Amino acid sequence: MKKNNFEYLRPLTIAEACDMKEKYAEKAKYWAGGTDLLLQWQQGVVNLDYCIDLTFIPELSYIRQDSENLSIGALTILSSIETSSEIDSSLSIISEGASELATPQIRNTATIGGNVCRAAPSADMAPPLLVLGTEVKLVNSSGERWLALDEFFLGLNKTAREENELLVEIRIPVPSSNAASCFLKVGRTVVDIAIVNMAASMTMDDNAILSDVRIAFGAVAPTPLRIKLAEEMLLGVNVSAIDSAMIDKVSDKVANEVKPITDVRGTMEYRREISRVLTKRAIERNTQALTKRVLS
Amino acid sequence: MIKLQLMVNEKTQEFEIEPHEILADVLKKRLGLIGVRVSCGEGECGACTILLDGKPVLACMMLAKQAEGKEITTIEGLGTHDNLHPIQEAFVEKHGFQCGFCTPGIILSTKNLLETKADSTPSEIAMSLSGHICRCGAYPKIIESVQEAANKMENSHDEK
Ligand SMILES: Cc1cc2nc3c(=O)[nH]c(=O)nc-3n(C[C@H](O)[C@H](O)[C@H](O)COP(=O)(O)OP(=O)(O)OC[C@H]3O[C@@H](n4cnc5c(N)ncnc54)[C@H](O)[C@@H]3O)c2cc1C
Repeated sequence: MKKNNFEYLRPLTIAEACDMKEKYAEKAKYWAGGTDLLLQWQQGVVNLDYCIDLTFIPELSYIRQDSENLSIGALTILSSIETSSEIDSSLSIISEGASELATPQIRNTATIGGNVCRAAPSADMAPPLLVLGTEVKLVNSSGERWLALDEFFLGLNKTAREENELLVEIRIPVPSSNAASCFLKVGRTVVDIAIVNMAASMTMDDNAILSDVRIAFGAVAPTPLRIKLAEEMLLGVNVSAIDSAMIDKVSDKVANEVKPITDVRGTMEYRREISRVLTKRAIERNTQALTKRVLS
Repeated sequence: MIKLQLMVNEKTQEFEIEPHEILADVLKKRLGLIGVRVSCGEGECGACTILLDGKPVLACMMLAKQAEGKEITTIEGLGTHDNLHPIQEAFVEKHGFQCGFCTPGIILSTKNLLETKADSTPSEIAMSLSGHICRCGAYPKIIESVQEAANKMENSHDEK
């Protein structure tokens, strides 16, 4: 922590923030809620020669829902997402992910953009966002681009965001009425970082055939990730044909595919086993929800 | 040094700080608000909880500059020795603490809870206080105190 070199910058617009970042490049860091960055700075992992505080940019904080998309500004705090009445019920796993992240106090300062940009393996917003086909908008002083979240997480705390890019929006398409999804997290207590977290979404066509399946896990690899080999096993399957034997096979596949490590929160073996169990629970739950809709 | 203007317990104060100063340190050391307790300093324990625009946040996890333009409430802004806030009264009556170190933060979170959902169940109370560690383990008494505070505040509404 180099306290002597710390200049505080307060942009009021996105354009101003980008210009500051362009000017000071690596010496400057974007500060959102600061709940990750502060500790990294105090531990001397990160220098903050120029601290660009994003807190005072109103155009970065919003939740907008229309018939096609849920759009969330990167600076939106997690408690706003947790309690928002805007968010469509088909996207409730977004609010659930937010509501299970850390403590009420942290959720009142930590932002969704910070969670995504920090790219922790255990980031609670990552699995729900990954299974819902999220895209993120990145902006720098010369332009903007949209990127699928699937292509965002590259490695441990490493993302496809270029150094000079600001994450401004997270856009989630509203799922069809034939989709079901869930979010599951196992931690030591309700406030702890995940030992394993995951989300799964399953979409069927008019004949109850699964046309889209996504399963994403956190804390079992260097990045949050989708387990595509397991997803594929369910594609083309009729919802009524999903039985416990099939669920076991998919869960085994997940347990084989994850690459967990042993750390203070859990052992590799435990994480693998929990991944199996959570896959089973998630598929069962989604299948039940879809079956109800077939019957009604 | 840079200028900082804070609104603390309904008073606007202006002074100079180093740009990197953390809100908890400024409140405690520069303003003498010793009810802001710093224990872990890493966002885990909740002792430094204050209200920012009415919502509980951790003063140890924020730059002081981040709090500009917002209303800060610390425990000093609630009641006085001679005129306790109903939540403070309830904690005294129901023994909602032992050593008292975590109590200011818990009382502030309680204030927000009772403003948002006064009729919370014990498990809702526990969830809303999940960001506070009480090393004395007074949790059952804390939950009773919150329930008692809810009663007191409801009664005082009825009287008005
Ligand atoms: C006690 C404690 C418990 C926690 N528990 C959990 C938990 O259970 N689950 C969980 O997932 N996380 C947890 N966290 C981690 C953290 O709170 C979250 O990751 C949070 O969402 C980070 O958001 P922030 O706004 O505070 O990010 P910051 O700390 O401000 O930023 C994080 C990183 O992202 C960059 N950044 C932020 N916003 C942008 C942007 N818009 N554009 C470009 N770059 C940006 C910053 O430069 C920094 O590198 C916990 C942290 C603490 C201290």
